[in-house]
Amino acid sequence: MGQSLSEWFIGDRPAIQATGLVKRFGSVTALDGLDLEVGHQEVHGFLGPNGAGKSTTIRAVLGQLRLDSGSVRVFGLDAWSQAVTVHRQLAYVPGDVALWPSLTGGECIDLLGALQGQQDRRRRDELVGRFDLDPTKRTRTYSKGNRQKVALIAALATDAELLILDEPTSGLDPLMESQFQACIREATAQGRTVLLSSHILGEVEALCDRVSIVRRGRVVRTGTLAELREQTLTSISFLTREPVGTALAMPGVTVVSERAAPEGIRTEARATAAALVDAVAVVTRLNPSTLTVQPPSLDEVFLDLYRDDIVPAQAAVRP
Amino acid sequence: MLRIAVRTGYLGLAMWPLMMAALVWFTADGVKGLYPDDASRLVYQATVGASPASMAFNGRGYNLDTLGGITAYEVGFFGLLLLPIVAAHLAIRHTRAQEDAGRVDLVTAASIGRLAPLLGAMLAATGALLATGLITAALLVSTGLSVTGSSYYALALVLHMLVFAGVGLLAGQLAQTARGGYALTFAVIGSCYVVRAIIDGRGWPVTWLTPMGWLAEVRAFGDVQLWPYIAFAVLFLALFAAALTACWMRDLDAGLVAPRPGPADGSARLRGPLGLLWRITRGMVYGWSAGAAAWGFALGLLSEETGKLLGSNPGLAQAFGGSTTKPQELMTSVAGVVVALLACAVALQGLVRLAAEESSGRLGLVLASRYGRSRWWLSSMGLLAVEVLAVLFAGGLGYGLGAALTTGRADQIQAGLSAALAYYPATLLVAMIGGALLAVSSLLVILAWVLVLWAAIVAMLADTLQLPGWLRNLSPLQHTGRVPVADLNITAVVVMCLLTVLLLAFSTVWLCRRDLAAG
Repeated sequence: MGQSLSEWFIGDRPAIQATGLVKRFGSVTALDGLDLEVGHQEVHGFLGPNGAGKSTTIRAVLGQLRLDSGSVRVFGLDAWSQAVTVHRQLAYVPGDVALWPSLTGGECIDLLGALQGQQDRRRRDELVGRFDLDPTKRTRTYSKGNRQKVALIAALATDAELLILDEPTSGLDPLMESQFQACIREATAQGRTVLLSSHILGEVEALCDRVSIVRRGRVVRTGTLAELREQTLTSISFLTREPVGTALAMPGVTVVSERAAPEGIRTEARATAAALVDAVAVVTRLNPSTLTVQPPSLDEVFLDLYRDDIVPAQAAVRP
Repeated sequence: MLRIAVRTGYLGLAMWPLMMAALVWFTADGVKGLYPDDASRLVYQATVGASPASMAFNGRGYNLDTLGGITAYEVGFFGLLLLPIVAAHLAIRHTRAQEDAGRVDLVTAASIGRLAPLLGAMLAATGALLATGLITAALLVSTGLSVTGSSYYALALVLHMLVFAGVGLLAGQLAQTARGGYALTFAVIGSCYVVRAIIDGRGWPVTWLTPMGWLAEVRAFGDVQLWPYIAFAVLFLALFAAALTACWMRDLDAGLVAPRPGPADGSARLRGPLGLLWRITRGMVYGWSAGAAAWGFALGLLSEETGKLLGSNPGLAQAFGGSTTKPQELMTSVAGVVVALLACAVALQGLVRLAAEESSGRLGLVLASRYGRSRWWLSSMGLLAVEVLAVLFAGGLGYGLGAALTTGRADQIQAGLSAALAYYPATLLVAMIGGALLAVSSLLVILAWVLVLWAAIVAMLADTLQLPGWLRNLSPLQHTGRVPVADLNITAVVVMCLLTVLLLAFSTVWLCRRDLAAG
């Protein structure tokens, strides 16, 4: 069954295709027409602040929620009505991992592996070592990070085609974080698909092929990191003897600041992707002693998109 | 620390004592209404007061020709179990449960000694229990009992509760979690109760063996004996000292017994939803089965004497809801109902565990697998049905063995088993009503306890409270027929089985259609 399914979806069929998801909890609209597409064998970053609807989307993908409208297809199958078939090909790590307090970590890993049905025994033992987990301890004595390790090891040790990870590293230390990144790279090398919901932009930047940014129950931006950066301004910083004056007065370029420095004048500017080449050409003609062109970091993309949210929130506080 | 305990737990600290005092007061008031003159009290002394079964339930009776004596005897009916449980709950609630929640490490990290939380909890519990005593004494005096008698009696009640608060404090230090502490304490309370019930029921002169026996021995409304007071106080201080020692010796968040490392791999039996559910409910099943068997055995040991007494006393037999022609069978049927109630409690506790699986998000993890909801639900319900059967079997067998031992008749074993197992369909129906509530929402399952409580009231107090028939019929247990006094009501059994199946179908469909609460 598992075999035929995995053969069947190989191709360009998206691993997850969600269209127009709407989910209301009472008067709260958690998902408001959300669209999400996770391509075959890609690592897809799923970004958004708390309460934006990331976990609700994941729960809909897992068939735990009945949608008010919209549809989720995983490997082309309906996430609600064909949930069991879908689940044979995925492994899930919840954001807030709750385990059975009286079971040991090792027992939990094997139980979760058995429930999923495709545990690779050798990889399981290897992962326990790599994540430095003591599998003989009862899970009630585990910290949040250790509980997360249990769920991660259980998911990574399966042969599931799709890994759905809801903020999997929020309790891990930096050492384990880098171990996690290595594991995800191995998983993609094996041809697996990953949906990675995360707060940690560095992690998303390091791992993800494509990113979807959620805000108030909708995906506001989706694309490769390069595409997202294109939609955001690149910063140009340079040092010249003379002030730039009107030289940079062209569409798509804004001068942010000009400050006197010991060796001249430091100018900071922002340029759109379209105006970038022209702007840099103008600056080089000014003969700058230093010139830095920096693509926007994901943090900036992210903050750019949320700036609207922050400002009204502050305004609302004022009487 | 005392302030924190009072501030954070004041509702429990105030509510439980008030409830306990009120229960004692209601009892005293009821006794006053039921036995207003000497003649009625003498009848009481000669019937209820002489019955080994009621002594097993109530403890020894003294001065039963006085209102105070009867009140003390009647309070024993609920007080011997309920008061220790409440006291131990107060103790654990303010010690181990706080530590489980992670608040104690916050507090002891500040400039507060490691023993302070325990002392604070002890003071809070002692204060609450002393308040109970004062209120109880005042309420008893208000019903017209003598001031001296009421005071002695209330003091005995307080000391009795304090001893079990001490057990709770010590258990809270020995066990590694609040749940472990509760389990340990309930085991102690349960064993004390059963041992005392056998001693008092059989009339053995060793009633000093358990602290529960001491309560009646104070004889507050007659010639007061002082030794039980001293014994209570000494035992409480010893328990408290032991708790302090344990607290001093152990690490925070650990028990005195160091946790052993468990298996690094899951066993072959822990492979699917069924294995998992058995793993998380088996402790509960073992505990309740042992409890049902022990309690059944104790009742069985008393069955012959009680049977004889009932046979010679038509009034008492009527109070037990039967006639004098089959006294032994009457006792068997009472045991059957008690065991059935225990089985209902097991079923509901299992359902509460299932609800916790959902609300914690663990169910979401389990269902994100190749197992679907209906399969999980049906195997859970199937396992619960088997667990309920196990408890009924253990209880029925326990009674049968006890009865066979005293009467020398081997057929008592079969009688005990059939009396308990006759309630299987009714118990399943109660369980499935709870299951249907759980399927609608995991928050609703708690409502099913109301049904079990009602079934208990109908089974135990229907005649005393003169409940009308339709109210009694709300309890599914009522429809089974009191085997072996009456025949099994086959029609009712068939209807209950059909209802159970219907509810199972309904709950499966409903559960598969709704959102999971967390995941």
